[in-house]
Amino acid sequence: MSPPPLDIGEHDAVLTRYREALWRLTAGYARSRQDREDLYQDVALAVWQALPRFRGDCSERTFVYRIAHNRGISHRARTARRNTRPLADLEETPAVTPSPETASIVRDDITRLHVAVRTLPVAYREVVVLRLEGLSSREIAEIVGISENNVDVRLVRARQKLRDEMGEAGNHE
Amino acid sequence: MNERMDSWDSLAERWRSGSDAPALDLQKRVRAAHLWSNARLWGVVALEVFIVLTFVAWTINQLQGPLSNADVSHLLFAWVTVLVSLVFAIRNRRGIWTASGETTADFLALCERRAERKLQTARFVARFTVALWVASVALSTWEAWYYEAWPFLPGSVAFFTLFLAIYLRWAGWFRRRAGRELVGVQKLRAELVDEGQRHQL
Repeated sequence: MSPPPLDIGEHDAVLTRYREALWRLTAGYARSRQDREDLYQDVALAVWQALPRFRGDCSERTFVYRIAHNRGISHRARTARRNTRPLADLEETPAVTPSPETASIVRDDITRLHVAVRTLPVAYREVVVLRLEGLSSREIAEIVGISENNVDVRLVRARQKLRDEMGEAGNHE
Repeated sequence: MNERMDSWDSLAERWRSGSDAPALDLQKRVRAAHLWSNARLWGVVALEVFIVLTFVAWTINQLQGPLSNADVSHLLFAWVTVLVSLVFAIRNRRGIWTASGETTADFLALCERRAERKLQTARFVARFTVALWVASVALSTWEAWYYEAWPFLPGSVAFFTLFLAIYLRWAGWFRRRAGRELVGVQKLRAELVDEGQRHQL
């Protein structure tokens, strides 16, 4: 038996729960800060509109990420020829952390990660962004519509590209 | 495998710590946008119903009194225009409301269908407007000849020509935009599908 549809208050709660995650997801598809904010609104709206259709066939997380991912892909398709500026140029202002010295190091680290993710080919980027959000290969496969094995292969190759891009020397292996 | 997972986990930790979602009243804006989006959809349907009802009322009004040949030709012209436009609009909207599945591939297929339909709309508007212009000029010429109001009305031809120019310009702009969108979707689809096929090998 499927659960009852979510009410308006629940919709608000879902959006609040995934607000930060949706914002991070948009980084993979936007071309500028302004573009990202527009996409963020679009994605939140799409999730809001889709929530009444949620019947519990998959987890809430998979459902929300699927909507957001598809909206991001369609945004990317729409804007693909409008702006040819490299994605890595996108400005980024990560959240600030404790002390000034460590804050600077951490901020650089985070910025490098964001820039590296944006330079990935879209086929890799879509799985990487979802993986970084903590989704399993099975969940990613469900969202993207490819096999789990395919997801794993893409992740391995993407990890190598990220490592090259970020100039890592086995720091995280 | 665990080592690989650890590697992703440390990256994920960094990724998530870099979040700075804009502080805005998201729910309020989303609700407003949702209402606006629904209002737009209903607006289109309401406009179509309004046009049909207006034409029905006008036709009934015309049929109350004696009909001249010109009245009959105007009625026929108006109804053919409305019906052809409506049939196209309804048929063109079929199958583009939702994706056939829930995966990205299904969603991209839907995006491609939508872009193709936009192109069809642009083509239809251009061709239909030209056809209407030809029919309008022919009808005006016939009326001028029939009622011996020669030389026939340059004012109405100028109006039809202006109408034609505006619509053709709009159709051209819309076609270019839809074309760019279609190329973008197809490129993205090819990129994702090709990548998938490489991994299958």
